[in-house]
Amino acid sequence: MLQNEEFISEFVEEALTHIETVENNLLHLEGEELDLDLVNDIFRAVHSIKGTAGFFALDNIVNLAHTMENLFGEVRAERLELTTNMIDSLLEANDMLLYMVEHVEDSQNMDISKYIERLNVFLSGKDAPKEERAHGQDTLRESLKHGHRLYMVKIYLNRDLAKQGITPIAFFNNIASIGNIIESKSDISHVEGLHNVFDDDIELAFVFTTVLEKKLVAQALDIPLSNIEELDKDISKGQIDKLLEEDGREETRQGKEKKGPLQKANTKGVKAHPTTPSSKLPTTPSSKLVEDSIRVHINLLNDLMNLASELVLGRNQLLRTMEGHTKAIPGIESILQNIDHITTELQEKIMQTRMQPIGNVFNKFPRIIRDISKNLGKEIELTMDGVDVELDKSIIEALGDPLTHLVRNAVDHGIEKPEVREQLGKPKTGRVSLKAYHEGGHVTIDVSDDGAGIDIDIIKEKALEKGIVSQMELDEMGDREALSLLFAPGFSTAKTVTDVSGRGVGMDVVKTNIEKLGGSIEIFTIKGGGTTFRLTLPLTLAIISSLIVEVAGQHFALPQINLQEMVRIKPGDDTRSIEYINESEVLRLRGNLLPLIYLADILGLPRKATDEGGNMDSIMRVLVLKLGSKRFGLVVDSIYDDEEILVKPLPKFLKECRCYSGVTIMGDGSIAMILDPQGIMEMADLKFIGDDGVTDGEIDIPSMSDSIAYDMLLFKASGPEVLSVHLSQVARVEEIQKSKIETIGDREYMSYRGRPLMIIRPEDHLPIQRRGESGEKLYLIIPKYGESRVGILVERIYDTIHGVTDINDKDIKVPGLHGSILVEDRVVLVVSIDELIDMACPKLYEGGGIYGG
Amino acid sequence: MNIEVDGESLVIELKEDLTASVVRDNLDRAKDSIEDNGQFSSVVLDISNVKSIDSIGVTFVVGLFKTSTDNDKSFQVVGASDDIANLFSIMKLDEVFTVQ
Repeated sequence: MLQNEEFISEFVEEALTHIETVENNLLHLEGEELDLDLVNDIFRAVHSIKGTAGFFALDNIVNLAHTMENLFGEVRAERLELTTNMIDSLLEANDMLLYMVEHVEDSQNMDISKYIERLNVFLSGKDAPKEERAHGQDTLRESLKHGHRLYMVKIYLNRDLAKQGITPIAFFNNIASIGNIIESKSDISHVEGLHNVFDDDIELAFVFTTVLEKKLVAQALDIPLSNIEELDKDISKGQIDKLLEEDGREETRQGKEKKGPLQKANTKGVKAHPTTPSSKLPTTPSSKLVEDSIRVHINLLNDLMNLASELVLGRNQLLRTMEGHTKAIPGIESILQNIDHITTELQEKIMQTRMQPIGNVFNKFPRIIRDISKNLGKEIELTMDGVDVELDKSIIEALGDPLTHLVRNAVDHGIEKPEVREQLGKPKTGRVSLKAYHEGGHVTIDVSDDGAGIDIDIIKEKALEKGIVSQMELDEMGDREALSLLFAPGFSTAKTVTDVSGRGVGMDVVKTNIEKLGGSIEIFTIKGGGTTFRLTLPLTLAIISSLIVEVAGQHFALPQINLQEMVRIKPGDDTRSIEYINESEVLRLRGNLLPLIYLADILGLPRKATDEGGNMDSIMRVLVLKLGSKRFGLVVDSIYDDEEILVKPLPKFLKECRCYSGVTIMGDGSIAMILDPQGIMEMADLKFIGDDGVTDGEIDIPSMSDSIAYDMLLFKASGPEVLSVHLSQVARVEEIQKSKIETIGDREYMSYRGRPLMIIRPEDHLPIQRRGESGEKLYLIIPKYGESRVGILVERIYDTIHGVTDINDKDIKVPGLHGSILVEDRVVLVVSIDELIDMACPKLYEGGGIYGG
Repeated sequence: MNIEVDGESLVIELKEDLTASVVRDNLDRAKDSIEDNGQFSSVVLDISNVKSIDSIGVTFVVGLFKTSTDNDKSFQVVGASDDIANLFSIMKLDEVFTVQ
């Protein structure tokens, strides 16, 4: 039976996709109004499984699929209502189908009777039809309202049906199972009495509605595609009659009249597909199914990927070798450029073939949520955004388990029971949302819930109890760091081990898995308000863009993904100075303190940039790296070009070196270790208190975005309103002392980098409240386009949020404001920097200067 | 297939399903009986025992109807099962002759 393994595995692959479709659509259908498109998809899916399984004589699969199909048929014909009970049974049956497909060799030995029996119970209950099958205009309108399509079918009883071994009754039963007949006619003029019964034929023409596509109608009715014609939905009953009349020109009624043989002969020529254009109605083009994809074995793609990677390497080597020789060989320059260009493109295209939508992972969550929430007696609504965002197949595959764990956690630990929620004044139904969006060169996935949030004190307590940290360590810990204790091995905050969580797979596994993929995970939580786990992932694993750096004469590759900026410190530069906190070196960069790590120290190589006394003896190069919300500076000796590098896994004997994530061969053929910023940070044992200074962690925001997103800086002026500006318009944020502000005339200035800088107070120009500043410490937002001559004075910087898409520009229309966004149910005003500057000093943009008053 | 004159009617009674083979076996007999110009004014097709009917069967029924009208006899079908009555109704044959 299973002699042809290749075909079988193709069937399995296909069937798995179909089973997934069935599950997803069923879940969508639950509690919703009947969406016939979804039912159509289910029908198609089950039908395909049944069809293909039939080829391999996988009778069990065929039988179960067949029973499911029958039930869906009844639902589609709206003779049976899709109840929760029925969905339960269908899901169970679908699971069994999945199990059989996954274990296709044993499928014949499995007992499916109970599933079939259960489905048959529903089938037998169809004697209470929801509505009488009716003919005519009402049925037509009603059906079309439900997304039906309209078809006209013309067939001959003997020529078309009898040949296929279909009896007329079976044929019409078939039609009844997929749709409603609106109008019909039959042409009996070809039957000339009993002389020639076996050669005479009766032509049937009928118009019916169904959700099925044309191709599927042909399949379901077992008739040639050419006999079916899709009609325009706006057709009137009168037009239908006319159409049918026109076709079966001598329709039934004429049978009562005597007909001469000549007239009959004319009607012989009536074709199933008349070409008279007058009342012909255009068919919908969407009914065409175009095959625009083919199946390729993943091994082939992997091979291609490897070859492309090697080609990239070869290209790099070629370019490096030819450097300096290009002048000697005329024309080689453009050839090299061309090869360079094509190689990059080729590599990108091949990478694309491996890209899969994140929806492939997300799709299983509706079912998981449904099952868990039922199990736990919670009411949960799941929203998914950005399902089209694509990631490398290998990442998609590895993402399943960690994401499942996070979603389970959100439902189990995050969302409260309905009664608790009601007491808290929250909506009874909890919300879990999955969002994926592009950000920079990577993809961010937010798993958010509006549940209880994480109690940091409990985390600390638990960690202490379990001996993960000491009291002293705890005292030093900021909230963010305490939260990251969740990821410590052996940590679980669940009060009781439920069926859902507490399986011994902890958050540490989630973190390890995500980091293995080159990603990072962060937690944002508001006690009582909800939690967001944010995963940041690279688009692909194999080839990464990296910066080549040098320490003590050795080259290393640093993934660009973590690199924020490069800072060059000349001796005596006041704006970028090295300071000491508890004997640790920190870089004061635009008012923020950045811990410094010397790569040489971590790797046990000699430092070059400073002497033993820490005095700077030459230019110092600092790479500002960002890992989640943590930033630090990595000091290196030299910085070279950026290079696309092919990541090769670390050899076994280097696996323990935490500061490397892989190894690569560079353009010149030499080997470079790929640095792992996470590992370096861990080895340096950096302590982050709160955060890097810009954020004080007061507002933790799950973003609200999908694919295209803005980054916003959140702050407040003297009033209580939370304001924001596009981060892309901000050059810097400076911390200043209030006492440094001077008033000249009615304007305020301060000295900034040796020049006067005019201060704009948002509350002077925007409709927001004005209060006195609370402290000596204030912040200046220096806009990118103000030529460093203006600064927006704010009292506090809250945070940056990423991935904001829905800026509401309708409700608030005031000069100086773009609109508003909602952050954790708070309205945040979006300030237009340009308009604000324009309002504060109109002459700035006209070149008039701002100093004259 | 049982064919007999019952008063004013020629009753054609099917004993089995109305399929191609049955039609083939009885076609000539049925045709001859109607064209025989007997003393009956109507042809009654009794299909009480017919559970299923195939394409040739339908053509046969229509053929009976045509032959009957050609010979100035009325034609009706009696004893149609729900399925068959429904089929004739969809095909609008019940508008051409009486189906009971």
